[in-house]
Amino acid sequence: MEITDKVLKEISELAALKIKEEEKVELKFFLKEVLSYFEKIKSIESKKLPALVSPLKPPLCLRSDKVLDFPDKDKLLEQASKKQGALIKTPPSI
Amino acid sequence: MDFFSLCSLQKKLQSSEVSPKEVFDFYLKRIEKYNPCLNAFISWKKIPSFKKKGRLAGIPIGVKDLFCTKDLRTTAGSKGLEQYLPPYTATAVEKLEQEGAIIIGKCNNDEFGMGSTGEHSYFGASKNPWNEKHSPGGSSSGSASAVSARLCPASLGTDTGGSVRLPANYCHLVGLKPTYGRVSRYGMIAYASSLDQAGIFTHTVEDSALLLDVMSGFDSKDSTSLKTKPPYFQKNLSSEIKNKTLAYFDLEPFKNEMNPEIVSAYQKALKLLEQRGCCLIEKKIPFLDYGISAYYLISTSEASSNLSRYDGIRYGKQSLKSSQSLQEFYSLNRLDFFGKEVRRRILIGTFSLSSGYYEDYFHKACQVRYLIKQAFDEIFSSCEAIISPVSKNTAPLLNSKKTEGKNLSFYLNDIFTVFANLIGSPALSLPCSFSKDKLPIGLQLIGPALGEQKILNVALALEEDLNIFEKSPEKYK
Repeated sequence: MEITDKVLKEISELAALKIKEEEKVELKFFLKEVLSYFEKIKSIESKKLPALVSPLKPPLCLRSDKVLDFPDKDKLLEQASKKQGALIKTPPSI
Repeated sequence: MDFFSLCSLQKKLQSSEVSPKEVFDFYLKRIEKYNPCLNAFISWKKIPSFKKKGRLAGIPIGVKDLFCTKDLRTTAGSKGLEQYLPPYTATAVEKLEQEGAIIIGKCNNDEFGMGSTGEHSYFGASKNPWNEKHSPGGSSSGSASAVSARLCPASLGTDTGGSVRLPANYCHLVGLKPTYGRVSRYGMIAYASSLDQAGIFTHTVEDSALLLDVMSGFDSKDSTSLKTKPPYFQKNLSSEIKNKTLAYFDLEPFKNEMNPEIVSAYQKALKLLEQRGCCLIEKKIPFLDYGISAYYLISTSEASSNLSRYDGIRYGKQSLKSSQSLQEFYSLNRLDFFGKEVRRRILIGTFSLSSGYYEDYFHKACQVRYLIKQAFDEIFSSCEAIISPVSKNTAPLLNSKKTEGKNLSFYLNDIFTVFANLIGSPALSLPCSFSKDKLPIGLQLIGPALGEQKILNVALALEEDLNIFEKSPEKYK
């Protein structure tokens, strides 16, 4: 499993994580080592097997899609570093 | 004033031999005296409110800083959440408070539960009270350190791949991970949603059963909460395990890696169980070579999704560096937010979910998980519980320079603990012995789904026979 600069750049963009220049070599080595080890599971024959995403039987039941009022909006807003009225403010982006 | 177990403290409070204020002051003084050295707590209360009624009335309990608490900041061991004050309290914690428990403080942990030594906390590593040069284990490092040093009689942790059982093993404690869904995850900051479960640290098996009684039960706010009514674990505790069939794992694959003192302690425990009239059958660990891979691919993939919410807008601070796009803005915020280990795991998870790799990594890991579950179900069809060591070695040394770059070897240390999370089974670590250099050695019991009573009963029998649970680190007696 080879981790090139291109692969690292693509993953970091998908993950929305900036990679420091000085960490690139170490990260590539880490990803290569760990993912190469994890590749072991490819050797298991699994064509007709189901994927177990939850140990529960039956798996996850979804809540109904209803908008509910949150009782403490003010407490949430208190923690925003910048706000305007009932809105959290972010810097303008190009 | 000399408390040890939570149950004995409960009796003293109920008989008014001591008052809740005396108990609280006792533990507060110990925290203020010993926490600067141990770094077990990130924050703690100085002024409690005492609720008169309840099974846990007046009992102080520590809570891992991954549980939201309305009146105490919740950091998840992360720089990004350093000043975060949740607007609500986690259900598991609320249940303790409804029974009169006092949440004395928030315990240190590896950032977002990612780590097994406590060294990945933004607030610095906790120390092992048995030897302060050693790690207490992780990720519930502070929770284990606090109970072991008697800064509180019990604490909560979270267990995604062994993060309760491993620290309990290193700190001479009982560490219980219930069946997935037994305890509500509402208010528990998510790492890997299909693997996470709240766990308990105590000195004795009975204490663990009492807290499990309080915390278990359906919660409509957690869609993965089990509707099955839990039994009364404490009331049904019994060390009568004669004629029970127990499986134990063959350690041959690890013969060159295991600490021989751990092997010896394991074999001694098996003999004690035979003397109790149990029938022991040897089993090989199913899919031994694939468990770690399946666990880390699933957990990091789920983590990459769960942690995507930390964008510097809804949580954390915004970076002061200028950005050219919203994407770059998020990326810079998240770079500041997370430590190295969290960023590494997010990258693995993102990779294994990405187009072109999803089938071979995440999806394959879920299929392997299905096979592992089938194999364990077959083992449990012929036994009550499985016995195994918790780790290959005793508590590792604390030294971040030596641990950097050794991620894979640390990941492989989880080999005995990850299976219980993959299959959703209850599992427990209990004190078993000590090494020559006086570091604790534990033993693990894994039960079938909803089988907490089975493993608690076997654990109680071993606790009686081993009779070492009352030992404390010399400095913290």
